[in-house]
Amino acid sequence: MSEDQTLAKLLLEQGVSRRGFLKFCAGLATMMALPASMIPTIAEALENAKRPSVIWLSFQECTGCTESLTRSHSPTLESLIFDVISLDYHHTLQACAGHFAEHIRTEVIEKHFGKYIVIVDGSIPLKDGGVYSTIAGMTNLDILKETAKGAAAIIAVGTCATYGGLPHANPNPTGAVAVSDIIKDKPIINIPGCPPIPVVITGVLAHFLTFGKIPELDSLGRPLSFYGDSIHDRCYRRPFYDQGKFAKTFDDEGARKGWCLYELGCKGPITHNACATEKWNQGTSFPIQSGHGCLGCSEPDFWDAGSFYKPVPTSPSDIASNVAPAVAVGAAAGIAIGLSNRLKKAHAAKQHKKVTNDDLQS
Amino acid sequence: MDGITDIPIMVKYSEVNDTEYEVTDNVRALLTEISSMLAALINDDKIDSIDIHSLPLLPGEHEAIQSILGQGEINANFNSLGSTTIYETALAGVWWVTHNNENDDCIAETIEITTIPAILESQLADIEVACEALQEQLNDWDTEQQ
Repeated sequence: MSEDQTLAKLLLEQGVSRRGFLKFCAGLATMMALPASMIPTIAEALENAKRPSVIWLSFQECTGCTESLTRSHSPTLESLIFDVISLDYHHTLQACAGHFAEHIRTEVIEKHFGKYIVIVDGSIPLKDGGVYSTIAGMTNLDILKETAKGAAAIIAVGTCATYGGLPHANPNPTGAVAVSDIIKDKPIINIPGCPPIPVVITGVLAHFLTFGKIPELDSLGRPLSFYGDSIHDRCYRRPFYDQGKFAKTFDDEGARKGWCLYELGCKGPITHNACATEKWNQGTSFPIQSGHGCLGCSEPDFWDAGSFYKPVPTSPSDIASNVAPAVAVGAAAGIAIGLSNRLKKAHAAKQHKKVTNDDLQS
Repeated sequence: MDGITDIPIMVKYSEVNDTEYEVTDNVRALLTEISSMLAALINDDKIDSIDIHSLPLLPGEHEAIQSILGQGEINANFNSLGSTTIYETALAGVWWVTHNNENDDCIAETIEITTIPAILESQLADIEVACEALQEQLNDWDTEQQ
């Protein structure tokens, strides 16, 4: 795909009908948590969307974030999205190595200055001059600063890049910090999770591709469309919580009946992520559905936040009063689900509808 | 190994009776929402949809909703980037739309409240291509006859 070619043209060249293109847009709408009424807007925007250049920097990490993305089932919307972007630099995936690989990175910076996207996974070690993680003789800190200069936006993928993650855990021997601790003058989208859900990574890319700007973020820089609700708010076991039905051990009657795992240390009430709806492994399950509480991996310092098996230090009544008003007045949990979903989508739609083709062209 | 279906572990949810589904709070809330949307379609021509794919439903609730809504007269399928199934439920104006990818995994599933889902309509871009192709064929035949 050439740099000037649009996604719509690419699909048409591959023999995909207009109806297939609309289906693709329907998948994107679901991916971005937008209502179906937004499909024509998405289609119109993608008609004109150009191929963005992407530099993916892997720093102090375990490669789990890349694994999460590349091991997602294919062919998928995710793979199609990656057909559309120009992934010019990625240590793990690129074929070339050494000076040639680094030359590509500097070339992209020069050629697409101000327009390319930088994706970062991994934390950045600062202690002892940043010697604990280097690439081609450069510290992660220097590479990040050099690459971020000409970026249109930075997407920090995974808990390490967003909050420092496991390298940052006490006693933090390498002085690991997050991308946002270093870069202050660029829009940064945080996609935490250990690892993050693949569809969330590509959903953010799809949003940028579609609307030409970053999605609305929460106070921790996370896209509201995926991190707007807590796991607890969207958990299918929520009705049991509201009924006061809790598993007390992992093998008692409550556990076998699928009751709420709050008392077994589930961090769902204080964790914001999309696991309960997007799920894992082709939508098969997520930790709570598999019988284990949420670890809270998309929240800052989750590793140092105490035992995974102690209940969060918040009383059930406090949690209930913080969620959707329908729950607080004792209405059915199902209505809370619908209400939360509708509010989120209405909010997202309101934000996106302001974008026009003119905005994308400018 | 290509996917999770190759892993020899079967995910088994709690048993659901084939004919008698429990009308849980979630099921009732969704049906109430559909009822409101149908009223809006009648009174205000308002088209709406519910993204069933991203709702956190209890095991069995998806099947319950599908069973309660039933199947109506229209059933359509098409193949483009994977299969898509569209059918009108037993409730006129309520359509169940399922988009699968080429691995047959569901990528989007919606309940659409409309007289006909937009994706079923012939698309202008495709009509233009079709018209052009037919005209070319006619021209070719004309040339051959001359």
